[in-house]
Amino acid sequence: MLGFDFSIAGIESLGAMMIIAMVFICYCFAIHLIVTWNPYHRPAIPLVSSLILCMGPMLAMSLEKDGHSSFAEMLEIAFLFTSLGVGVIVLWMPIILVFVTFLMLIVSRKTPSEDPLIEMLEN
Amino acid sequence: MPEQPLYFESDYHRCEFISFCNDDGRESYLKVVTWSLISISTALIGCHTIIRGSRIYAERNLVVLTIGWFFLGVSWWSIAQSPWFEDAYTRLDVLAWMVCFIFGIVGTVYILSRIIRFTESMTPKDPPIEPLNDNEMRLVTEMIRRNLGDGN
Repeated sequence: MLGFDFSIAGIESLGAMMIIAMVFICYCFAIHLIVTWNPYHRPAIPLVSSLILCMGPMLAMSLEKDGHSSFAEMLEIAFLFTSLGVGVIVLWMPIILVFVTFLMLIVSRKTPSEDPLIEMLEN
Repeated sequence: MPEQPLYFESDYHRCEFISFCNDDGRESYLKVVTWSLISISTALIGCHTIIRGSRIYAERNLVVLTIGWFFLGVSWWSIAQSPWFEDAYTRLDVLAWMVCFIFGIVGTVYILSRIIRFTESMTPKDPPIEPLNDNEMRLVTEMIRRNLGDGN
């Protein structure tokens, strides 16, 4: 079962995972900026940057085959990238759940101090 | 890639783990999605219930706490029912993908934080504030004196 291909294809797939992570995070960040739009936060530059970082790899991938791109092809690639991103995050879930279970154990046994302000100052 | 045999051909076989095997890939995908949703939702409900039942915001409620731990246990049970975690954790290539994904997230967050800092540095700065005049100084002193007293 154990085995890893350190060929060019293997290294390329590692780079592809980093690009997928970048697309996924930029996609989430762009949505976050749009739904919490506040002009006083000056969101235009971060939004344009995240859209460029998000769309760039998808456009490059859609142009790779025949040099032409279409909206449907871009949507397909966006779906592929986001589902792969969610899939990898789900793979991290048991490890995350170990930490969460440990935290819940602490929370369950926690007894609040008589003076939270003094406790906060001491810590 | 060889053409996949169709369902009426003699060498056709159902495959569980190869995503391009006709409809079986779809079935496996839906299985992963369903069990992942069960794991995530029960973990969220469990954590919320445990926090509500603990002594953080109110008195400890043992019944609520027990229900929360039950849901967290269901989440662990659903993970134990999901064989793909074991498959993933015993393959070095998948582990390398997972680690590279984290590197990608960290790198992207760093790039986005630099962009935000750049945007903030472009924000026009306000002119320096004028010092208080005598009337304003008297007003502020009086406000502080009334709120804090004379120190007696």
